[in-house]
This record gives sequence, C-alpha cells and structure tokens, in this order.
Amino acid sequence: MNDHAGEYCPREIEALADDQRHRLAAISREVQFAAGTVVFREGEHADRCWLLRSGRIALTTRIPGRGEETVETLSVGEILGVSWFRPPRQWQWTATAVTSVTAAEVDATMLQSVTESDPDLGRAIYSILANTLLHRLQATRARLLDLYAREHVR
Amino acid sequence: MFGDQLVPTPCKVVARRDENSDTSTLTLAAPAQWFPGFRPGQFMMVYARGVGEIPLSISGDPAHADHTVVHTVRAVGAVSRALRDASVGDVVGVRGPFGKGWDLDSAKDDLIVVAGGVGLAAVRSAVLEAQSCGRFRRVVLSVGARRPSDLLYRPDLDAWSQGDLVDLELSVDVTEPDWPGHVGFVTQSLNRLVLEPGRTTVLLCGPEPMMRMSARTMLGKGVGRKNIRVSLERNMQCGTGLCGHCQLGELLLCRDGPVVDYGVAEPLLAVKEL
Ligand SMILES: Cc1cc2nc3c(=O)[nH]c(=O)nc-3n(C[C@H](O)[C@H](O)[C@H](O)COP(=O)(O)OP(=O)(O)OC[C@H]3O[C@@H](n4cnc5c(N)ncnc54)[C@H](O)[C@@H]3O)c2cc1C
Ligand code: FES
Repeated sequence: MNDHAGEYCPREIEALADDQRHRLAAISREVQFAAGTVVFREGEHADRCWLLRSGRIALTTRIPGRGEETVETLSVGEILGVSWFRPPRQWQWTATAVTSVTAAEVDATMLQSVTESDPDLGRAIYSILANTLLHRLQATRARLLDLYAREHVR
Repeated sequence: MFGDQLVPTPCKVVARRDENSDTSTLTLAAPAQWFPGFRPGQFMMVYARGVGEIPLSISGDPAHADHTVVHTVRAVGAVSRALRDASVGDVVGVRGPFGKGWDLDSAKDDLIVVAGGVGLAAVRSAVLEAQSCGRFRRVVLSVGARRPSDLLYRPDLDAWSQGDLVDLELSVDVTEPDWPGHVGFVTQSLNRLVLEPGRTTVLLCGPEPMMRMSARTMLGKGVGRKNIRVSLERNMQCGTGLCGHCQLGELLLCRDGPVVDYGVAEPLLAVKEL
C-alpha cells in the first residue's frame, strides 16, 4: 500500500514565518523507528510528540481475551501524541510502528515554552492541534456509525 | 441499449467469484448481437427469475469487448440474495445500460476515487478505464470497508497497490491480524492528500454519510462542488424515466443520475426522507 500524501506538512506549519519555523526546527530532531518498535506505551509519561514524515503507526490497547487491538493508525503529515498537552500527561494508547517510520520528534516541555514566549507561534501550534483533534473526533464518530456493516445498498 | 429497454434479455452466469461472506461477482454472457458496451458508472436492471429485479452497477472493464457483463452483488434482501446465490450455468435477465456514468471525458487531470463498501462496484470500471486510457496525471483510489476480509476485488487491489498507475489507500474500521493498512475512516486518508484543487475531479460512491463527509473534506481542500461527483441511489423499477420510483427532488435518478455533481446532490442529501 502506498502512502499517497507525498511531502505533506500541515498548512499551518507551512504558513509560519521563517524564523518561527527555525524555532520549531531547533526543538525538533529527525527520528526513525523500525517496524515493530514501540514508540510509547499506554500509561507512561507523555512528554513528546511527532510529526510523521513517512510510514505508519498503530495506536493500540490491550483488551482481555482479545489481545492488543488497533484503534487507529496514523501516517504521513499526521501528529502522533497529544496527551502531553493536558494533565495527567500520560499516554492513552500504545504506539507501535507498523512499517518503518521517519518523524520529526518535538520535546513537549520545550514546545510549551516556545508557545508561551511567541504567542503567534503558539496560536499556530494550538490551531494545528485543534484541527488534528477535530478531524480525528469527526472520523471516529463516523466510524461509530458502522456504515459499511449496516448499509443495505452500497 | 442492451436488448429491449423494458424486456430483460436472458444471460447465462459464466463465472462467479465470492468476494466476501455476503457479496459475489457474477460474469454474465450477453448475446453477441445485443452487447451494447457501457460507460463506467452506468447500471443494469438485473432480474432473478421468479423473485424480482434490482439495479446493479456494471463493474467490469469497459475495454473488454467480450460480450460479458460483470456485476458485483451484495445480499441484502430477496432479489440480491437470489442473485448473489446464482451458480455458473444459471440464467438471469438483464436490461440496460441505464443512467449517466462518471463521464471521465470531462474529468480533470487528477482523479480521486473514493469508495465505501459495495460502492467499489460502481467505481471499479472507472478506475480500470482511467488506468487504461492513460489520460490522467494521477489516479488515487481510497477505499473504506468494515474489516479487511470485507474488501472486494482483492486481486485488483493487490495489482493496484503494486503498480504505479493507481495510488491506493485502504481504510478499515476494525482491524484483523497482519493488516498493514490504515485503520480509520476514509476522510483521514483524504485529509492527508496533497492536491491541486483546480486540477482535481473526485468520484464518490458509498453510504450517503460517507459521501457527504468525504465531499466536505474535499471542499475543505478547495475542490469545487462541480468537480465532486457522487453516485446516488433510490429504489428503481423501470430504469427508463417512466415510473417515477427513483425520484429525488426534481431528478429521476435512473435518467438524470445515478451520478450527479455535488452542487446538485448536496441540497437533496440534506432533505430528510427525500
Ligand atoms: C443505480 C444503482 C446501482 C446499484 N448497484 C449495486 C451494485 O453494484 N451492487 C449491489 O450489491 N447493490 C447495488 N445497488 C443496490 C441494490 O439495487 C439493492 O441492494 C437492491 O435493490 C436490494 O433489493 P433486494 O430485493 O435484495 O432487497 P430489498 O428487500 O428490496 O431491500 C433490503 C433492504 O435494503 C433497502 N433498500 C433496497 N434497495 C434500496 C435502495 N435502492 N435504496 C435504499 N434502500 C434500499 C430496503 O429498504 C431494505 O431495508 C444499486 C442500486 C442502485 C439504485
Ligand atoms: S426507475 Fe422508473 S423513473 Fe426511474
């Protein structure tokens, strides 16, 4: 299966001024995860987030009798990790690389201090987060409709 | 026109492939003198003897002029079940083709095709034509299904995922072991697409809420309503614009559809019980 997103970067990041992008770049580092790597585990302290550049990550949880169930996957251009944003700052899911993954990793403490010192950059970052969460909420609600199971026609 | 517009032509089932637990693809042999050809997105009225007649999209390859017509049918009620259960050698009645298709001739350079569930049956022929005509700069196919084992046309999907011509993303609601693809809703993969809205035409076929949500995702990316096409369905009987069963607002979907642009479809889909 192809990743058809190409070099996707959220529009809000592209729209940032050069110096703001440099400030973000200064607190990010490129990381790679081999397929099968656990990036974080449910319940651990949430202190980072990632902008995925390639590959696919599965968010899973353990269900007795069913094992580790995938609730959602994330790939190119999507943000992995939002639990650092509010207390108790614990990961809600376990994140595992399904394929090999490259990502920009950002330290959450540094990200918060950058957003506090530069309100414009802060607004852009929180707008990205809000968009991410809104879109995921809508997609999750759509899945709750179980459309393909109940469809009587197409 | 295939046979008579109102009288079904008997066609023998020459091949049958079970796609999943409730859906099969039938290849029907059409009498050579009647074989009409079809445009992707058109449908036939298919008759199961003694049970009834239903509309089914033509899901075969438009380039295959071998006097066969291919339908994929999901068993949901009496007629579709009888057709899904048809065996090789059985005879069914067919009339058509009816309706306007996807009209690929007027599509822009980049084609984004989004299908959910058995909706893939109605776009398969469009993807095959887009692949063979070589006119498109880019063809993206985003398919949603409940679970991996429900996905239709596995040989096609495998070929598309390995080839260069179609950029394929499969999204499932519920995963199964060893599934390497996306778990989530189709709008998530659409949201990730980088596209040039002015050069993009979108084809949507699936449950109506899926089409509305996908259309809104595409509108959010700047694709105009006129360049988003949806395949709508309502109960059909005559297929020829005579009986009024398929009326949706001012449209008779068997004649004016089933494919219409989203500018036309959006207000109609918003009206409860229309
Ligand atoms: C243009 C067009 C193309 C289609 N292409 C395909 C295809 O390629 N493959 C496929 O499997 N199905 C397709 N369908 C849907 C198919 O026609 C219906 O599933 C079929 O009519 C159901 O008939 P039945 O006698 O088996 O079930 P019924 O007993 O008539 O119906 C079973 C359930 O489905 C509902 N239902 C049936 N038909 C419709 C409809 N058209 N709109 C809304 N609700 C309906 C009924 O209310 C009932 O709840 C298409 C429909 C249209 C209009
Ligand atoms: S099915 Fe009779 S008018 Fe459309």
